[in-house]
Amino acid sequence: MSIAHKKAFSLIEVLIFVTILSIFLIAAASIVTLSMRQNTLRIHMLKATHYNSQLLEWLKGERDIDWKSFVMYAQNKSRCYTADTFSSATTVSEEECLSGSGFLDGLYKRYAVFTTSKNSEGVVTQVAVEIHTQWQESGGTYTTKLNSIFTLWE
Amino acid sequence: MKYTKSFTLIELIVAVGVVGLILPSVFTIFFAIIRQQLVLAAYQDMIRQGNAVQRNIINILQYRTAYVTNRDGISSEVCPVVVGTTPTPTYSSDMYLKDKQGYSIHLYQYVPLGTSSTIASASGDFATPFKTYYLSSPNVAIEGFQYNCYQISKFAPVIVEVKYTLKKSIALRDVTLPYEFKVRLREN
Repeated sequence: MSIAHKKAFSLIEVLIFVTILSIFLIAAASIVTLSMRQNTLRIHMLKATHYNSQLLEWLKGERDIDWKSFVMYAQNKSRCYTADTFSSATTVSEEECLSGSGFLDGLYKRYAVFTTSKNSEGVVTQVAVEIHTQWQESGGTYTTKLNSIFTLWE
Repeated sequence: MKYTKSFTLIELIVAVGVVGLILPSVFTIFFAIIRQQLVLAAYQDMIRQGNAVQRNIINILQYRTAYVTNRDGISSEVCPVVVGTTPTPTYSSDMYLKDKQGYSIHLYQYVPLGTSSTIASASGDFATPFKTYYLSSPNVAIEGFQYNCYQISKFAPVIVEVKYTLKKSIALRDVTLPYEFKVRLREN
């Protein structure tokens, strides 16, 4: 009576297979995680850009209404726009805005820094505005910026 | 008796178990990625349409509108003179406008049959029949269309504040995008 030997994989073969499979799975998981993180970042960036342009459009309206009032409004140098409506913006420094408790859309901190320029007669003829929308995700801080200049002659 | 080679029951149960564990995870990840792509596309579409609607309304208000009127076409007392601190604004959803030639424009929120809510623009006068068109396409809903108007003095131009929210449903969840802007009428 002969002993029948069953064909089977050796330990080395199994180890090689498991190693290759693990490398493949880890690479796939990394790519998927990275892709999902990038997608989320793109969505947040898109919204942040929208919030920047909305504030710029609002400021254009303020400038159109009355230049003098707009200059008074801009003299405060920095304003925080984390509330739902623009009219409830607070006059605080950018550090205070970033450390404050309010968030726009539950995620963003939006603030604008105004710089006024006077002509030789001491009249403000230009207001430069730098709009920042900042948010934190995946351990990083991201900011979208929008710069514009408002003038008296537009 | 001849034995044919085959998998044992234990081997089959183990294989099915492993596949059963892996497949749901793969599908969950797959659908999460698809959902994210859809949300991203939805935001891009909403921003494109929201900006187009905003530009359209700004153009109508800035370059065509001479008066903001009530339903009967009377402009007096529709936009109050606000001096000093701005009172809590009174928002309205039906915007009646007139240009210098007396041509009327009516902007209002409307839900066309079987589609999403949008902002409709109806314009015309006694000689021309009113024509209505929608400012956005049916794949995006526009909700909460409101406006408020005021003057900073009796002879100052009218200022109009407009608000609306774009909404789209993606994978049983709503994504929204708010719009708020202010326009000074240049033709009055």
